[in-house]
Amino acid sequence: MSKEKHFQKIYKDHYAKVMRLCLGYLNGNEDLAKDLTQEVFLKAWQHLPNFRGNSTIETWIYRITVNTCLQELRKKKSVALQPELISEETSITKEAEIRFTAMYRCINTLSTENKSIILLELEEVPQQEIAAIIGIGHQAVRTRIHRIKQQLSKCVKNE
Amino acid sequence: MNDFENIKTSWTQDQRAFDSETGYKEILKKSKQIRKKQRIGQIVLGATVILLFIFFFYVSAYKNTRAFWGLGIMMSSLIIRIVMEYYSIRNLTKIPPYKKMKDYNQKLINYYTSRKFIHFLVTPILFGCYVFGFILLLPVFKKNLSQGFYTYILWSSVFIFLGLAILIAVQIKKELLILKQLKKEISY
Repeated sequence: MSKEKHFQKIYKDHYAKVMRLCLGYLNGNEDLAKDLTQEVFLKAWQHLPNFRGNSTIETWIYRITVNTCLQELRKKKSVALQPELISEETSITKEAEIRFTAMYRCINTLSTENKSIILLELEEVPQQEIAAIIGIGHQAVRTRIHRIKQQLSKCVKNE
Repeated sequence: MNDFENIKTSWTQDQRAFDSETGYKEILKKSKQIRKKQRIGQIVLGATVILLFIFFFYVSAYKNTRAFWGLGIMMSSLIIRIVMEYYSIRNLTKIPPYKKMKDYNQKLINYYTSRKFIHFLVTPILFGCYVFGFILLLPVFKKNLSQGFYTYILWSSVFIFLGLAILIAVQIKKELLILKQLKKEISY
């Protein structure tokens, strides 16, 4: 498979996942998330020859996403919550919209590391893989997820 | 279903129409544009150095000791700083973004820490040299230019140097904040 074809497949398979992760980091701000997603795939394209297959391509892409989003967040002071969180085309109810807003707000109260862990957990990334993305032990991830879930549930309930 | 499961369900239900069909072509186009810009940047950098040398000889700065040193010091400090910045930024882009988050953050910390050497030692010295070079040139300006133009150069330089110092300080502050943030994250 040519490099371009390979990249096209990676892009198609992972775009929505990367976009959702970026949305989580950026308080649901779709415009900023789109730019950042483009930045993630730009880096993926530039570094694709360095992909040695030591990890799955998914882990590789998620690492680029986490590192790119966090570095961008460090440069920005804060990202405001997007008012029109859900586009009109989606048939999501007002209630769901409120739930989304609360969810993004609560995710953003977490520390950067916990935020990354829980966003990956929400994407149903296996815990072993989360450990490989963040660079901490599997057991630590498991303990951390348990704690963050409680923290998040409590926060959403209070919103 | 507990609260977190509700959150997870909401998350996976977020099926907004994300275009993943044609967007990759945009990435390839952007990548080509970036490479082109980098090449232009290198050409501009090279051309600036050459132009400064041509200017140096054009005004026959080598004939007058004061002008030679004044212009020479100003040009050298400017060239050194531009080249240092160019290589420093290149080092940042060379950090592999596919590293584990912890390793990547450590590399960023090392990078921003090394930048402190540039910010707190190299830049003030070079900035001082630049101003010193300019001061050396003042008598040459006074001798060769009209009184009005000389006064204009003198006063405008004060504001230019002040503006430059503020710009540098703001940039340094931004980078120090990133470093502080990174250290806080890694110690968590």
